[in-house]
Amino acid sequence: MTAVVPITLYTCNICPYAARAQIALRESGAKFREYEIDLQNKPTWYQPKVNPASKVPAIAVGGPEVPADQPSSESIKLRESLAIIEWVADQFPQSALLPKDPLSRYRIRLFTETVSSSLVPAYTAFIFREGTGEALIKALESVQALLPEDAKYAVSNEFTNADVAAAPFLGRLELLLRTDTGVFAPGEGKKLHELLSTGSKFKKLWSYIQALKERESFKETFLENDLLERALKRVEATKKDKETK
Amino acid sequence: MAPQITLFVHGKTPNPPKVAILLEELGIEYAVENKVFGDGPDGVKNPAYLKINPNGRIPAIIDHSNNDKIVWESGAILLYLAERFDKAGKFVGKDINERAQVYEWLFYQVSGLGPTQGQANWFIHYHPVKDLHPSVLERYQNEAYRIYGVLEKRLEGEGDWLALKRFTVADMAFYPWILLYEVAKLDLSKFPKVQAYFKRIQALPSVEKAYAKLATAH
Repeated sequence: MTAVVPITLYTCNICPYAARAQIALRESGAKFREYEIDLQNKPTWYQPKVNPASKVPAIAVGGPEVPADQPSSESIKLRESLAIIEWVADQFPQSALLPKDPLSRYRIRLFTETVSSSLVPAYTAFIFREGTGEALIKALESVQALLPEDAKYAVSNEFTNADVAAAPFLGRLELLLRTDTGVFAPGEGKKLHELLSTGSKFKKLWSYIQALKERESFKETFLENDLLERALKRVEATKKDKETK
Repeated sequence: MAPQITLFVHGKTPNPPKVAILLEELGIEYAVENKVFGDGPDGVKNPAYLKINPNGRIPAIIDHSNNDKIVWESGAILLYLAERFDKAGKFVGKDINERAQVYEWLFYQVSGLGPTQGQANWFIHYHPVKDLHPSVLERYQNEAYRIYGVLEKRLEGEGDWLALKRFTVADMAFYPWILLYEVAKLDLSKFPKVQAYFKRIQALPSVEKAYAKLATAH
């Protein structure tokens, strides 16, 4: 029998990378606690004692029971969201986040790689930088192309790490396009949302997004109003920056 | 199919949209009829309309699926429609405790933000005495800001909606008034959660359809 070891997840409620770890741990059924790190105002102990990269998510596992803001040097520190969710899947195999057969594992890794190299940069660029709608549409097409015809999630009817990797980004994309939030010209976001949500071009992707939004572990980590508030602030700041240049 | 409800409206005033949004959410067929000021044929102070709403204001509804039952006062209309068409209490609460929470915020809009922001509008745009002492307008604007502060705090604690963690008639009552903040010369930059909340409601299909429908009444 595996002993229950303390798990502390250092997270931030608006960070999509941290959300991956939050979702995976909820899916695993493991006992864990979360500690919120204010990314605008990081505690001085965080970088030396928890994550030298000074980002979230990070996990402290094992070691003595300590307050979350006094991490022990005896606990093992984990970082990097995609490595973390693989660890969760391995540590808690009953979660079914990473099935045993090689082909499914390949498909999960291919999907995750597509999310990382295609979707995330195109989403970030379109909403917050100088990205084009065309690039984002291409990225969405490449994600949709991987979705199986007759399954609920990215590789099967089971919720796997492929979905964990994609959900925080697809969720944010849908919200920000729906509310026309971004540095693009007014209306551009809404137009893309209409393309995504109506008609035939993105029918498969849209129903995948709905399936993700209905997952309990996703719902618990997706605080729409807080996310939109933060995105609006960031977009405002970017626009102001451009004006003063 | 003939509309079940006739809804009396006027221009871009903020109380009829509360009702239109709920009707869109419920999927009820409704017709909109524009009323105007005064006691002319389409006027709100015309005796024919005063029989519908003794207060001579909009909104009011006629429920053709209930023997042409008339209901006036936006808050009363919302609760009437919920009782008629939302048996599961999705938009108003499914039991006494849920409903109490919705009523708190609904009545807060109806007694608080509505009259307060409305008075600010009056003194800016309609009051016949010019060069009023600034403290008059400030009184109403400051009270409006106080109310927005309460909403901001509520959204901080409660997340996405004012009551029951879902879209209810409480949100439907506040949204059309928040939409008109500039008319009252208010600045909502100190209320970022209210701004995000407002943008999310603005993007709801029922809200878009409601406003599009109201625009056809002219």
